[in-house]
Amino acid sequence: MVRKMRGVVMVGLLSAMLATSAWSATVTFKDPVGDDKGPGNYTYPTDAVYTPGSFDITQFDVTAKGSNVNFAVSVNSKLEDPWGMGVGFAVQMIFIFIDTDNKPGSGHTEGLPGLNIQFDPANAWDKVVILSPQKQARVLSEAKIKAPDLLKDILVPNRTTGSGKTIEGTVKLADLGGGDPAQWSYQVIMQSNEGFPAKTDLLTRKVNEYEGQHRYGGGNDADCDPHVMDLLAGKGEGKPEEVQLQYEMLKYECDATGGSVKRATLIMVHK
Amino acid sequence: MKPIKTVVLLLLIVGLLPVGTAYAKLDLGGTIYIKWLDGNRHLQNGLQSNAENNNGDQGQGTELEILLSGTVSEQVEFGARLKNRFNRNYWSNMGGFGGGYTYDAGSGTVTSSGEYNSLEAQYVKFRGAFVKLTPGYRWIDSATIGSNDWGQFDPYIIGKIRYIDRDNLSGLLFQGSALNKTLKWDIARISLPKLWGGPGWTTGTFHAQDSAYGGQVKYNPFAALNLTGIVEYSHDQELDATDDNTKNGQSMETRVRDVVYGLKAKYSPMDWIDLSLAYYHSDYSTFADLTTQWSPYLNKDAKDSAWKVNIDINKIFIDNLSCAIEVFSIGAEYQSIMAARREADVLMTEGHDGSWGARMPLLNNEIGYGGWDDTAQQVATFNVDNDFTDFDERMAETCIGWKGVTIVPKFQIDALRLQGEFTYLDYNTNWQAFDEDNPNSTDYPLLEGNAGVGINGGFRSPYAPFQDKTTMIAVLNWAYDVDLGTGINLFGKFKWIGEEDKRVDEEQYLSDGVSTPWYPSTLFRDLGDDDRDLTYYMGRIGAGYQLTKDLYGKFYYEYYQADLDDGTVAFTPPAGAGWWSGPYQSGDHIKNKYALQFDYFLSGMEFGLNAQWIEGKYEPDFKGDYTLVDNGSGVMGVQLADGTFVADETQDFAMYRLKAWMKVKF
Repeated sequence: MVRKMRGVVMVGLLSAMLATSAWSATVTFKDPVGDDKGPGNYTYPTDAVYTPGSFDITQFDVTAKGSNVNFAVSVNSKLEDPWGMGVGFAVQMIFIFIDTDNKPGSGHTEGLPGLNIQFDPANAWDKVVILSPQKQARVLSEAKIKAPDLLKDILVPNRTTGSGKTIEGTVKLADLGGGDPAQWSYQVIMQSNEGFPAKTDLLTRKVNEYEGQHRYGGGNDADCDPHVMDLLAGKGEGKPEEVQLQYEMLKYECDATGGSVKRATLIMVHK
Repeated sequence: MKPIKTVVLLLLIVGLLPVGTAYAKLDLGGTIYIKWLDGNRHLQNGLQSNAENNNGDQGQGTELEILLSGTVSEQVEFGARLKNRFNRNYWSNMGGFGGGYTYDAGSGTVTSSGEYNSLEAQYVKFRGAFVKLTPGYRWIDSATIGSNDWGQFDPYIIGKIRYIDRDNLSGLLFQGSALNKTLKWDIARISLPKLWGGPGWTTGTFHAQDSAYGGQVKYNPFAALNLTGIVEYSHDQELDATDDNTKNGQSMETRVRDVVYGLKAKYSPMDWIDLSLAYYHSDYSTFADLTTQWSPYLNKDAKDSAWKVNIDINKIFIDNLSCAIEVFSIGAEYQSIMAARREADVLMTEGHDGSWGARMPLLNNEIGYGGWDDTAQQVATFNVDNDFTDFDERMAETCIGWKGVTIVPKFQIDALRLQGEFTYLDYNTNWQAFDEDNPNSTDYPLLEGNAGVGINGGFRSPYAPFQDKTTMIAVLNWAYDVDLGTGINLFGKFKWIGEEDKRVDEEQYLSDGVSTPWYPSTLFRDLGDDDRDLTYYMGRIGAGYQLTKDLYGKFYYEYYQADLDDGTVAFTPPAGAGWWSGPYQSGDHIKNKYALQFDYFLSGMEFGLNAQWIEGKYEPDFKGDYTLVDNGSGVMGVQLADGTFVADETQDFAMYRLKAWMKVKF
């Protein structure tokens, strides 16, 4: 009896150790440097605060720590805070779309307002985490107005911070629906923190045909073009061929009046 | 009524737009911003914490901003802004109703009030407008004509002014690109602002054609390398008074000419290190022949440079440990007329704290004892502008003449974030008698004349006739998020500043007991009589918490201690005399600040509140030879050389201030 008890305890301890080590694992994706051009020709706004590389994703890490999941996105430029946001960065805004069940057709295929993207039905997303220098309440307040149908699947960390070249935030695993983050599929969208967004945009910055002081350029003046500067592609290994894969993914077509003929359709990356 | 009339006018304009044009559209939006001030100074000179003779800590007021933007065609875009400004537009004015003109026979002046006073009448003003053209030609991407905040350039050369004045500067901006957008260029012509764009705070009698031209080229041949060249030419002209022949037009003559160029490079050879270098050179010529030193620019011709080198090591042996190093030198006579006056921070160092930004502790016509929150932002000009700011904003300070090194290590382990700073400052403005053997030289502006005086030394006074100063700054910031409830955000800080200034260190400038070449006091007999020594400490601790999903609250406490030796009693010159103004400040200064902040968001409405209680004391410390005397009212103290009496007793300060605001964007 005692031996059985010891055995049970040992198995239990071993299981707990394995589970703990799985929960503390970090999943890392890399992205090529210099592909912060959206579908291939996007340009930065002209104001000096948008330093070169500040919208160029280089790495994305997901770390499960106990009941929390930490998301960290690194860019190719030192983070600065010219607008006094108080959290170590200011110009970036990141959307992390997550397919937690990897079931084709399960989840949402539309992007969030202002991104002008959609997801392939086989890569529908279940949750999205927004890393923004704006206060959590403001982001959720905007989401409540502009994306009420998706609100329950929009998560904003209590605190998002930037240091060095990395922006990160933590959310509860339970809020993500539980499960193993290492098994999920992801798509990371790099956008910009727009404190004065258009009425239909979720704090995102527009892409116009020509760049402006606070507008990206290289796209279309209407909303048929994807408002995405960088994202993950291929297997998320940072290989040069992933640049073209990104450009292909973000291809779009507009009609003469700025209406969408073909919207950029995204797929996820996973390990 | 006036806002309603404006809206009606706008709707008429909408109606006149071409119907059926695919690209024709007009967006009408704006902001309603309401501010509530409260405080124990009970000042009602204006709805802003700091504005010379126009500040206050009482009352409520509303700003209405109307933004028009739209497109006329695929190639033509426009925007405009109408807004009333906080000033004395108190709710208690009843919309600026009533009032009139009052004539004072004794002084012969006329004062206006209510509807007849532009500060009180709540009028909506045209703030700015622009038209942007994107013609689709290969050789040009866009042309923007009209208002611009000029943030496309470099704050050392052409930069922003006050945020509220972001549309005040107008000009022409042409932008283009080449080499598949790896090369970009900007060319600008900016109309020089007549209110401050030249010596003596003016561009002279003739201003309408005065201008600054700017050019910038950015080249990004590959992701790791970015190169920038920038040049600026300002030209302030006046009518040639000697030209009395009006048959062939009127000749002009130059009042001020300023040429500034800059070269910048940023290189990232590997993902763990970034290198950047910036060099600027100015060539300033003035023919303004000012007799006043109350001026935001030099009264002499000058050529000088500024440079800085930045090394960012993003990973030192282990993840989450990084270090940034900045080495810099801003020339004493570096002058760019259009350099950023605020809304920029050109150096990595924290510099001084805004809490001691008041030029005197009790100047009721300015920010007051509490100063500004947070640290100062450095700008490469002494045409610094902190007017029309509130206490919850950052103070700008000049870094003209600063040179040194700043090291900022950062480390993060789990939820704990640490950031340190060490800065060593020397000054290109360390000299004797302005290096001109003339301590009374008028070449250098004085402004408040308190360079290196008091605790902060004046935010826009870089020049003192005698200076031999060094400054060291050490800071440790920390933040820790406790995973409890919605997360408790703990934060804290410790800061130390050590500053020494020997000021006069040549015996020829000492008094001989009969006369003094410089200081008005014949008591100034020893080189040590004017030495300045500051030991400054600051600590902060606080916590923030998401109280509900819409409401965030934060509380913090700050402690300040400054032990200041600012010369002996023999050193203190008369207030307003020459280069110095201000009260006696040697002694121990202690300040305690308690602050409570809330942020609340509700479906498009944003609300903020910042309430502070600041109390402290000043204990004078008299140095040198002095005798305590009675001021005639039974108070013992010291009679300074200028006759000012400084009581030998502790001075107590207490300040309560509150700002609440609400913003709705539509």
